[in-house]
Order: sequence, then structure tokens, then C-alpha cells
Amino acid sequence: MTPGLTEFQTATESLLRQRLDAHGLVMSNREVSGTAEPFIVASVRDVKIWIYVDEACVIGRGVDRVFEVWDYESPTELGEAFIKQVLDLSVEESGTMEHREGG
Amino acid sequence: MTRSYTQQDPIGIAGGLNLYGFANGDPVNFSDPFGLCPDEEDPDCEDEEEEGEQEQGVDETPPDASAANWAAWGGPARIVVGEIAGETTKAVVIAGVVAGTQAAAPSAFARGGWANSNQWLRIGVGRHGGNKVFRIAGRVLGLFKKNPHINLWKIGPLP
Repeated sequence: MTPGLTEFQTATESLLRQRLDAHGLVMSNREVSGTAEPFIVASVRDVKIWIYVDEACVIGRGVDRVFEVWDYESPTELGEAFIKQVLDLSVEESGTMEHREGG
Repeated sequence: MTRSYTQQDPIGIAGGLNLYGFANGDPVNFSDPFGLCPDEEDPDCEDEEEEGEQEQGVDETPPDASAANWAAWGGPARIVVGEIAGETTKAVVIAGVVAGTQAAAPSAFARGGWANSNQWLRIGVGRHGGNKVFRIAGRVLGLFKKNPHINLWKIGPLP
């Protein structure tokens, strides 16, 4: 667990990496910013993601979505929704590129 | 024989220039034990006596106990107490219903639960990208637009 990061951030990042790996994708440009509220910022292809202390955000491919604590019953549920959104965007993008490459 | 006071009339010269006079000099037909009535035939003086009798409880007719006359019974205090008691009862009942509902369905009031009002509409500071923003959010917005968040303005970078 990276010092300064919350359990939510560590668990969500770990699970996201696993899911991305299953689709042959990787997280790039990963860095931790902020001091009072350290957060992870990274990219999955051209989708940018933020994992805050207890929330998350995805911006890219016409989607701008924030995952806030009020909308989910647990951090796990929030993390799953966030990861699903990232996968939906990046896998779709990946599929499109493969299609282009194949075409 | 005409009686007179042994000291000056307490009402002063309003009862006549004779400060030691008594009942206008006619003690057979009038009386003025306290020396305060200038003229026994003065209607104001008689009214004062009658009012005095009523104040002393001569009029034993009980005041109307209807709601309109609660004031005559010292009712305002009772009404206030009654209202407070009524409101307290309502508050207790509402609190009981809420507490009972929370006990029966705690998840409904938790984050993400249907009874969590913040889930439906909220306004305040949130995060967006690397910034802190002031926003309106909630499922109510989702009824009108795809993204249930409206970022009103950027406050600054996340600390």
C-alpha cells in the first residue's frame, strides 16, 4: 500500500490493474498528487482517471463522470462502478482500434 | 351636628375647599369613609364603587369556558402548554416513525439508499479532475441530463 493513500485508493487501483490486464490494457502516466488529499491520477489510453481518497473520476471519449460517495452504499460498490466505466471506455476504444488495424 | 374629619381630606380640594368636610356635609344621606369621593352623586364615583365590588368577587357568574374565552380563565397559558404538548407529541411520533423505519430498513437511509436525500439532490464542494469544484449533483439531475453533475465553478486545485 502506497504511503498516504487510503485503503479505497489502493484496493481500487489494484483491482483496476487486474481488470485492465485481463483485457490487455495497462495504466500509464500514473502519479500521486496532492498533499492534504493525495489522489492517484493516471491514463488508460486516452481516458484519464482520478482516484481520490474515497471517490473517483473518469474523463475521456466524451464522458465526464464523477463517482461520489453519496451515490453508492459502499466503497466497494463505488470502486466497481468506476472500474466498469473505465473498462467500458477503454475496451471499446481498444476494440475500435483493433477494428481499424484489422480494416 | 355635622361630623368632620380629624385630618385633612385625602382627596384634597377636589372634594371641595373644606379639607375637613365629610360627605358634602350630609352624613345622613351619604357616606365617604375614605374621603376619596368628591361627590356621591358623581356617576364616576358610583362606577368605581361598582367595579370595586366586582373585583372583590361580588359577581359570581363564572366566565364562559368556551375556547373563545380561555383568556378569562387564564387560558393562554393552558393553550400554549397544550400547543407545545401537541407539537411535542407530533415530533415524538415523527421521530418514532423515522427511527422505526431506520431500524427496519437501515440501508434505505445509508449512502446510496433511496431515502438518502443527498443521493437525489445535493449542492456543495466536490472533486473533478485535479480540482475542487462547487457543484449541484444528484439523481434528480439525471432525469434531465445524462451526467447527474453540474459543476458551477472551479474553486482551485485539490490540496
